[in-house]
Amino acid sequence: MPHVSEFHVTPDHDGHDRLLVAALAADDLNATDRDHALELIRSCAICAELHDDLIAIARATAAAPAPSSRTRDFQLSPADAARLRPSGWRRLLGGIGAVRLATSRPLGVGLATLGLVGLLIGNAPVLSLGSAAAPTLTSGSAGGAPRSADDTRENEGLSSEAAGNPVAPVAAASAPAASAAAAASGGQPDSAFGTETGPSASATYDAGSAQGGSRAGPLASTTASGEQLAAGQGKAAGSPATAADGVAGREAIADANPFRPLNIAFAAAVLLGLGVLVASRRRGRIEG
Amino acid sequence: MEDLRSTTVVEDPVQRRDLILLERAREGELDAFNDLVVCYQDQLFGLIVRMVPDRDQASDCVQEAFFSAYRNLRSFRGGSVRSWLHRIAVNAAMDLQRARKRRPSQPYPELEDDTWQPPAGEEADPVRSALTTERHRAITDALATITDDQRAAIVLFDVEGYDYQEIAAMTGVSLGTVKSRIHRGRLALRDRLADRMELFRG
Repeated sequence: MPHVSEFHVTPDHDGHDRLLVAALAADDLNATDRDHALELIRSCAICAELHDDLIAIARATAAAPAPSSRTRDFQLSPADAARLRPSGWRRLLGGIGAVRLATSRPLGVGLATLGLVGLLIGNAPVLSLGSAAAPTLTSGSAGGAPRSADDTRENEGLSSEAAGNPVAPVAAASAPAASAAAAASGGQPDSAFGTETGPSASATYDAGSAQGGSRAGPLASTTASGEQLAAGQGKAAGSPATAADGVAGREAIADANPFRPLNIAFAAAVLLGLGVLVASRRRGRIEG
Repeated sequence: MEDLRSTTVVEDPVQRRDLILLERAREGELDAFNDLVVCYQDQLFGLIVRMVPDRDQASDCVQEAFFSAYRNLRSFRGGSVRSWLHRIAVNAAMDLQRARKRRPSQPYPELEDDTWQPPAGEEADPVRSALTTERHRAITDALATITDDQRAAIVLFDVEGYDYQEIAAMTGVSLGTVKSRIHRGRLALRDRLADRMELFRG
C-alpha cells in the first residue's frame, strides 16, 4: 500500500462513502465496487488512513483476550438435570411444542381464535341466533329492540293489543310473576341496551308505563324499569303472553349459564391454543 | 431419535468426540453432557462476555445456554456441536440484551483495577506488554459502547471466525444485514478510538 504522504486530500472528502472503504477493508466487494474503492483510497489520504485503521482494529479485536475469565463451573447437577427433563403434562406440552414450528404456531393461533370467537358468539345476546331469550327480552322490557322478524311481529302484536286494551284487569294479577321472570331474564341480557327503544317497543312502553323518566335510564335502572314495563305490558298482553314469558324465561336462564358445555369447550380451546403457542415459541428460541 | 454415530461420517476427531458425547447425553448420561460442558464452557464464556458487557450477566447467560442445550438435546440435527452450542448461547445473549435496561454502567469494573493483568507471555517485554494490554483494554472498552447487534456480529466474525452465512443463520438476519453490521460496527469502533489510534498503528 503506498505511503499516505503520496496522496493528496481531496476537498470533497466529506462526500466519500465510508462504508465502501469499510467493505474494502473487509474484502467483500465485487470487482466494480472494489475498483471504485481502490481509486478512492488512492486519491484521498483520509480514506486511505481509514482503510488501514479498520484493518488494524479488526486484527486487534481478533487478538484481544476475553475481558474477564470464567469464575463459575457450568456443569449440571443431578437436580438440574431432573428439573430440566420435563415429565407429565409438561412433557406433553413440550411434545406439542416440538411439532414443527410451521404447524404448531398456526395450530395454536387457530385454536385460540376459535375458542375466543365461540365464547363471544355464544354469549353475546345480540348475536345469539334463535336465542329463546329474545322474545322474553322484547316483551319483558322496553329496552330490547326486536331482533328478528318474529320478534317484530310479536312486538307489533303487543303494541296493537296495548293500543286496543291499555288496561287489562285480568292480566294485573299475573303481572308480578311476569315481571319476575322478565326481570330475571330480560334485565341481565338486556342490560347492554338499558331502556333504549325501538319503534314497537316504544309504543308498548307508552301504552304500558307512565314512567317516562326511565326511558333515558341507562344500566342502573334496567331492572326497575323492566319490572315496571313488564307490569304495564302484562296488563296489556294478558295471560297467554305470561305463560310464554315463563317458558322463555327458563330457557333464557339456561342459555345464560356460563358453565354450559359449549362455553367450557371453547374456553378449553383458548387455553390449549395459548399453551401450544407458548411451547412453540420456547422451542423456536432454542433451535438455532 | 436419530443416531448420530451410525449415520454421520466424521473425520474431525473433535467433532467425532462431540457427537459421541451428545448421543450418550441423549440416552440419559448426565456425565456425558457435563463432559461437553467442560470442553466448551470457556469458549462459550469468552464469546458471551464479549457480547454482554457484564461478567455476572454473561455467566447467567452461559448457564442458561447449557440448560437450554440439555433441555433440547433432540433439537440437534447434525453438523457441528460447537456451532450448535454457540447458536444457543448467542440467542441467550440476544434475549438478555433485549430484556435488560440500558443504563450507563461500567461494563468491566475489573479493568479499572490496576492489579488485574492478563497473564504475561514468555518474552515478557514490559513495554510491549504494557502497549498490548492498553490496546486490548481500549478495544474492549470501545466494543462495549457500540450497539449490541454490531458487537455480536463483530465478535462472531473477528473473534470466533464464523463466516457471513453462519452469522446470518445464528442471528436470524440476512447476509446483507450481517455485512452492514460488521462494517458499521468497525467504523463506530474507529470513531471511538480516534484519539488512541497510535496504539493500533505501526
